[in-house]
Amino acid sequence: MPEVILNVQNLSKCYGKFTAVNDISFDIKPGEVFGFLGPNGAGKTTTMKVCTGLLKPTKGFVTVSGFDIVKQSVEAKSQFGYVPDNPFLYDKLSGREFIYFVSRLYNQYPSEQKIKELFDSFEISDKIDELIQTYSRGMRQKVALISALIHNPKILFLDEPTANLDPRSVRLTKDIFRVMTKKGGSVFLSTHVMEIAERLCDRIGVIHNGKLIAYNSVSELKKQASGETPTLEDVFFELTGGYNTETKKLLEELEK
Amino acid sequence: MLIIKALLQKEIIALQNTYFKARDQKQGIIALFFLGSTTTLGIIWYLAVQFKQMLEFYPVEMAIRFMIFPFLNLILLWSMVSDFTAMLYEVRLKFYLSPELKLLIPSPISATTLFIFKFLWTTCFSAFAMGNRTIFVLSPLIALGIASLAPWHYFLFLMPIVYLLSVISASLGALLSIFLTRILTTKRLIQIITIFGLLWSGFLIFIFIWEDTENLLSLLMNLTEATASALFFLNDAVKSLINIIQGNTAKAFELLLRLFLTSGVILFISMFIAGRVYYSGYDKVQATEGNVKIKTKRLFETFSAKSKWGNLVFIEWIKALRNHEMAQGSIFIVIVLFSCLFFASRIELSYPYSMLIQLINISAIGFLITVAVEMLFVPLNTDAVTHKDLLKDRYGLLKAAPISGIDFMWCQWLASFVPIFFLGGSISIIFNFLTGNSVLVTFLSFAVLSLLTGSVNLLALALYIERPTEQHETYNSVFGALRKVLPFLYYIFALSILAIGLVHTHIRILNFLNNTPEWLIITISGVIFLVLSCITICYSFRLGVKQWERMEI
Repeated sequence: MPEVILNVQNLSKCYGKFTAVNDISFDIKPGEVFGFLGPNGAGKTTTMKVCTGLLKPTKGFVTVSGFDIVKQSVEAKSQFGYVPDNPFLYDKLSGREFIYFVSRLYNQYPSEQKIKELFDSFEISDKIDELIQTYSRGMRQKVALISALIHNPKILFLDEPTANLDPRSVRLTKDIFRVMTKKGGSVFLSTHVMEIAERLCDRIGVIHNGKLIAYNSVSELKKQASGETPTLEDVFFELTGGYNTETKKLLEELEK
Repeated sequence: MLIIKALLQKEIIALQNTYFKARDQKQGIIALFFLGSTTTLGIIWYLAVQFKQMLEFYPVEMAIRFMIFPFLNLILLWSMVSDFTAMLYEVRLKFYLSPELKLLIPSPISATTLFIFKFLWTTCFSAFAMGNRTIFVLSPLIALGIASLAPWHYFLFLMPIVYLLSVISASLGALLSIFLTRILTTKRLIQIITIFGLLWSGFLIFIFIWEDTENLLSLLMNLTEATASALFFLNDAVKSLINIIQGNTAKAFELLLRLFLTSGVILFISMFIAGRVYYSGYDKVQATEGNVKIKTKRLFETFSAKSKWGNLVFIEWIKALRNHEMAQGSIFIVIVLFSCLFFASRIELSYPYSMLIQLINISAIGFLITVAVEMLFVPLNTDAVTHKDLLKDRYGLLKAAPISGIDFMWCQWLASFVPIFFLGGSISIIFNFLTGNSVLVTFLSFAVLSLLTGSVNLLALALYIERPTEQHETYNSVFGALRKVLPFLYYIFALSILAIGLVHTHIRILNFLNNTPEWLIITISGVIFLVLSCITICYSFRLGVKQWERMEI
């Protein structure tokens, strides 16, 4: 097993003159859940898209299980599962057909029973043969999660995975992460829910204005923050600059 | 009134954003229209000149009764039928399945106001109503005007006449569609249209095989006269144009006025009746479209188990079938091509008639090509400004999956080419059989068809996924325009090379080749065509693979 599953080195991504991601480096080890935090527009999704081969890096490189995402893209992509914030699903396929289709892309032939079990776990097996266009957002998210898990990936890339899920499915997702990491798999998780990041992640990276401004374990990050018992939210808030003057003014006015 | 103004502003701003802010789309659309119209007009102009020479041999009354009257009738009737059938589906999308309804229906707008606005916009003012339906039939009518030495106001009358007829057929189509919605699902509606299309094609083949030339001619004449008397508005439109050609402007204006009033009355009656049943149909559509069960599960499992490639190809077909695109596209092509076949097969009729039929035939083919190009290469209004999102929806999943550029190109190409190959191949074989061509000619036409459709398909695919690496909404404008017209240009150019070779055996176009044997000319044009197709296939494939690897989502 390689020492690191994901290795991001000096990664930059520019759109014309705008730099979305500016020279960031980090890695994810086997069995680790890595949380990626940042305000809206900080560069989280761009980083994840570069890591999954949807965008090309302007500078630097990314390897997944030792395979370069640009030069050995097919090999690298076989190693991971990806669930974007707005999942790519085909409306005109049923849930079952979609899972069959995705598994073939990874040269997998899952049994009928395995698919049924996964749908049962997420409590959507009654909708398995209906078109995805009829699914709610939460159900689409669940199908996307199933499709990412179906080929037993070494690392899961998840962009806001719990955004549309009901509490039971959130709990199930967390448990899946635990099982996966216990078996040596890794999770790269981008989220705005501090509670999830705090409870699940072994290490946290905070990105702000395209730069990685913090990269450590939750406990180490907390030590850096002011206050007696800072939460991860406090740490995040402090790192990303707190409120600006206008916001403070607005809050004061609202208080009056 | 304020609400109507707000709705209208929203439509106008959306159109502005589509056509003027997305620079490449604007350039592409202009270039495409310019090229398509000029090419069609050029061909028709040439035929019109010959048509004019034929007209001079006949007394005016005879020429009008036997040539101009059926010609105008057929062109305008054909335009009305296509408007009518297009509206059957268009209304489904605009009135029942459009996502904007989820915003507008819960907002504080009276249901009647919203319906009236949507009905008037769809039938009278939308780009679909104004552009797509009227522009394509204008070129043959302009050509007729030139051929008949019509006065200048003939050309002024054309636009309102074609437009008013289009409003009538759109209103009736919308009314029927809204009525049918209460009874049928979208899928069932498409199936019924398909069955009617096939029956119509069968009817044409039956006539072709069993009827002799004289009976066919009288059938054509009776059909046009019966249609004209049954559809009084069509009769008014045709007579108005004929009156201008004959110099009776006052009578022509009176008929135009009557047509205007008729279209207004039909529009308002259709809107009134449709408004009564619209909302009950809306509820039904929401309920049925949201609960679609799949019946092809086993078929999918059996097929997709074979290979990654088969899986990728099959998934595209399943999506297309369930989107009803393939059914619509196939039936449209079958109907138009069989109609063309029917007319083309009559070319051996007496010369003036054959010219007339050729004129209709060419305009039908011109229309078919323009519509096909428009459907394939110019995204719909809403798509034009969200091309990036389209790529994301279409290719996002595949881009993150372990698929190489070569696999991707093969699968996407096969998915679209195989249906075209079988459909086009069948039509080509039937055509050759009906016209009594030899096995060799049949084989050659089949090979030409395969090479041409295969290469143009691949080129279009490679250009479709071409994008610069920066995430800009717009392209370089020249490239944007080229991207859309290049497959169209290539199609015409490649076919022209073959056509020049074949025509040259009868008419010596190039003087310096006068002494060259026929077989050599045909061989040279054939070889050039073959080389050009092969180069296009190789180049497009490589370009597609490169673009897939470069593509950013």
